[in-house]
Amino acid sequence: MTRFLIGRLGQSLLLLWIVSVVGFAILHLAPGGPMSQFAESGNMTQADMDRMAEQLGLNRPLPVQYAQWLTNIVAGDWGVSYRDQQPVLRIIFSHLGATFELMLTSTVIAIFIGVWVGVLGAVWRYSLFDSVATIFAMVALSIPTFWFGLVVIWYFSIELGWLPAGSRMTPGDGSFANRFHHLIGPALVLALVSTAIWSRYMRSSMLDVINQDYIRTARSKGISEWRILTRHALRNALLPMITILGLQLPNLLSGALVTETVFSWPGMGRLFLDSINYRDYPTVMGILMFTAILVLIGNLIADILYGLADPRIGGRAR
Amino acid sequence: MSTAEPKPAAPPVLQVSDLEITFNTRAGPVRAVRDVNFQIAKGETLAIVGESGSGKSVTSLAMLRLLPGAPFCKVSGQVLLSHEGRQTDLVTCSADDMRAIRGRHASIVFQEPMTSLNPVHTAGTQIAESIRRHIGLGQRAAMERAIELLDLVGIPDPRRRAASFPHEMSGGMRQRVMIALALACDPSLLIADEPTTALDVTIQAQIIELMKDIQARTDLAIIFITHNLGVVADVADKVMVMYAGSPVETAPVADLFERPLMPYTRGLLQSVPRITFSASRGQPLPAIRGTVPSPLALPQGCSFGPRCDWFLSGTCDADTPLLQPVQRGHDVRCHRCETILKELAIQ
Repeated sequence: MTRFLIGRLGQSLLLLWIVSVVGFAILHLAPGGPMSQFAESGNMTQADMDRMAEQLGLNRPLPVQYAQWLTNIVAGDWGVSYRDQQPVLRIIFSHLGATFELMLTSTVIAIFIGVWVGVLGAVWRYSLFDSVATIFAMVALSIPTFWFGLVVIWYFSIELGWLPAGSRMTPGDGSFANRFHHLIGPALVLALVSTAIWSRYMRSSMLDVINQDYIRTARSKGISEWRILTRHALRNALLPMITILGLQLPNLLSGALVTETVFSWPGMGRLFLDSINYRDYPTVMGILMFTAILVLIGNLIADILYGLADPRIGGRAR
Repeated sequence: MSTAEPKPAAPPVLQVSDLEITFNTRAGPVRAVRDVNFQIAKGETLAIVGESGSGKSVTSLAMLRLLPGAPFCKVSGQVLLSHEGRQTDLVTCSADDMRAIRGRHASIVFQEPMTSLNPVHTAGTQIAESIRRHIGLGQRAAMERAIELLDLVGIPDPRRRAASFPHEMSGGMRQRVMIALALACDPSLLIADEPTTALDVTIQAQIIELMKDIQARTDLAIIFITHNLGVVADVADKVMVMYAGSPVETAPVADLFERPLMPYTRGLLQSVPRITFSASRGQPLPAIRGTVPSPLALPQGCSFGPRCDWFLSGTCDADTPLLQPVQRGHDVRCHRCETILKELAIQ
């Protein structure tokens, strides 16, 4: 186990380095830069601009800038935002709560509904339920999120007036009920797509399992269909879902760019988009690295979970 | 291993009458199995023999209603199982009754030990589950019973093996676990669907010895499905030979091997290689020419007709022969079996 973890750590560091190089290059290749907005302001002279660039280190060659950034981040200094002079890590952490709240809600909804829709779709294959679920999943996967978010806002907020049109809470009112009310719209929009994904994966995994010989064996023991489903089929069909969970885990903290933007949700996704628009290099790089670390941790957790859940993988230690 | 007649008072453990299985395929309904009639008494072993596609496995699955249900598949006829002093028709009984019988009074061992056990549960748990379901023991008592059963089927260190997962065992050991599972609730009927086909020859012999040993101790009725005639000679009291979905010859095992009457059975027996020093040495092994017909397009008359050396035009391709008693306990489905009998007598 220790050897496995050390090997994994080495791989992860290499991956993080590659992500940082590519991210840094793309970010700096993008037209414009942090200075362009000052250039539009009439009050700034060229001398002012040069002084600022000098201060931010933007006038130096790109490899030097990258080396400087890398040295800092290895030492634990994630830099300071160009926008409000706050440390990047503090900005990231101040947006995590909102994102986690939204993503956890939608993910829990998606897993719960998606898994059951998938299971029942497989058990009642080609039934009316299965056909309707399949069509719904395809529609949900095909709808662009920004459009669906706008439709939800238009219908539930504007036409019916049931839900607030955006943001995490009414200013000055941070009560649970108020927060919950704000959460419904974006959580549903996000859950729609992931429910569809979960149900499709679950259905195919379940179909695979219920045709296995050991399900026939279970049936030959005379146990109830419900018990066959939950104890024999579901246990096996959920194993591949761990991979998908591992892929979804980073999203819990990295957020949903489009949905957060449509619903003015003050989370990581929106922070990322805003930072890109502002060419806030330290913050964008910070979020990029943070997300990359989350992806790696998510995969690691998935692998460990596999070992715990599947005796064929974790069995050697037993 | 005796062919003693069942006592008249006790009904047979299983009595199958006019079993017919139809699959609804895209090409239309296909009668995969028809005219299956047999009975089996306590302590008796019936071997069902046939090539792949002859319907023997489907018959075994249908008896325990393990085939996909309507609309894919239709089973008709009667499968009467005696248990606890009464008889239940397994074709028509309710799903609940069927579940109460499966694993309790009638069990099955499948062909594939590698895939027939659930990979995420231990051997002990899988056996104990059946005991808890039918006998109503608690978890601990059921597990103790499972360990006893593993011991009974000859697994060394049963307590440790009960906590093992299927992937930690060899094929032979998994098949022993399957047998322990099938015997968990002391059933009166065991269906063994090619239980040794996927195993090494030495392991095959061990598993067969084990089943004979258990039968001697418990008076179990066994239906042994196989395509291996060597195994049949070793285990069976009675044999039913199936061809293209229907029985073509049933006989006590000694009769069948000494005096096979249906040309198909004769062909099967001749195609078994033997080590001899007679004139046949060096000669090609006799094989039955042609192939098994598709159940979608069975030939007119006798379904074995086109492959038969005794084929008589106008008789064999006219109407389907019936399974008829030729001698005591020996039934044959053949228009020409009188002729065959006479020729055999001359030899």
